Amino acid sequence: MAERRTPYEIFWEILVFCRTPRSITGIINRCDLNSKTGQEYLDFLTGKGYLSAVTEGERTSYISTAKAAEYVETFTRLYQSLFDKIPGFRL
Amino acid sequence: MCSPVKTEMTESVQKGISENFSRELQSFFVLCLLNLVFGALALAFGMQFIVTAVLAMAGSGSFGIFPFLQGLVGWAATVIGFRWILSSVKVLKGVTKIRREYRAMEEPVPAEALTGLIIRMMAHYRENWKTLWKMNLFSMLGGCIFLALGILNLVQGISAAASGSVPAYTLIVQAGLTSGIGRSVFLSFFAAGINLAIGLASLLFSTWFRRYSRAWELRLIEASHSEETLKTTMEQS
Repeated sequence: MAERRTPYEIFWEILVFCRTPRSITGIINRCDLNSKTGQEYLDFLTGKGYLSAVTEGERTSYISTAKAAEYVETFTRLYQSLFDKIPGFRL
Repeated sequence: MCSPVKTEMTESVQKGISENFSRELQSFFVLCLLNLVFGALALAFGMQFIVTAVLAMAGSGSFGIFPFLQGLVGWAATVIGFRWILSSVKVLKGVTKIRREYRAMEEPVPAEALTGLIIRMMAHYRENWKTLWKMNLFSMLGGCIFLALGILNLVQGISAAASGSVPAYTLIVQAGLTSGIGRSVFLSFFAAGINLAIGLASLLFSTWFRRYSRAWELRLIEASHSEETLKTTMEQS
């Protein structure tokens, strides 16, 4: 991953992407993670109750829970305010 | 459930944020593009000055301090121009990708799609802040060099006009053309105009890069404060 994101930014990306059930491969590709760190993030979010793991046979998919909505909303509001409150750059 | 008034305000705030983002993205894209063009000009003019200086000294058969200085400055401009281009391409590549994605989105841009792009821009700045610092430095150095070259050309033109004579290396540059002090002076002032314009533009770019960096430094500081809020949100839920 060439560009640097904070863990909180990655959490947000995963939770928004997982609004519909997603496989770990899909999450890793979409959120541009490697397998090891991707699984760590998923385990953390599952432990917090933000993600729910659904196993169907050999396949495990993840889906955001209702609890994740507050985090997603708070993050969205905070990051959008970076372009609202802070004077930006313009030619 | 949001009231209609609150929803309308939220939508107008959202629209304002989207417009701010769009304008900033466009401005930075244009800045990077202009920077790339001027880096190429610095490289080209630097090489041209080296060639002119070498031809002048070869033609006169002696070491001239004026051509030597011009060659030295030309060499510096070439190196700086080359590094300038490499830095600009790296930053431009990232911002072009984000701009392309933003432009592919239909208006009004959904809040979450916009937030995703804001995260990308933040990550882009974190990854490239050193390169942006270098671009600021190259713009400043390039600007100073071109201003110096422009002043050299002005001095050359004024001295040629005042003395009524033409420096040997200028004659060599004009080989094949009908000679004339007027033409020599005109060319000197013309070259001075170009160099001064490039120099001033480069210094302006440097100012703009500093402003861009300042805006994003503030955003990174604010984002790190936001992490405390997010951490609390996670702990409480």
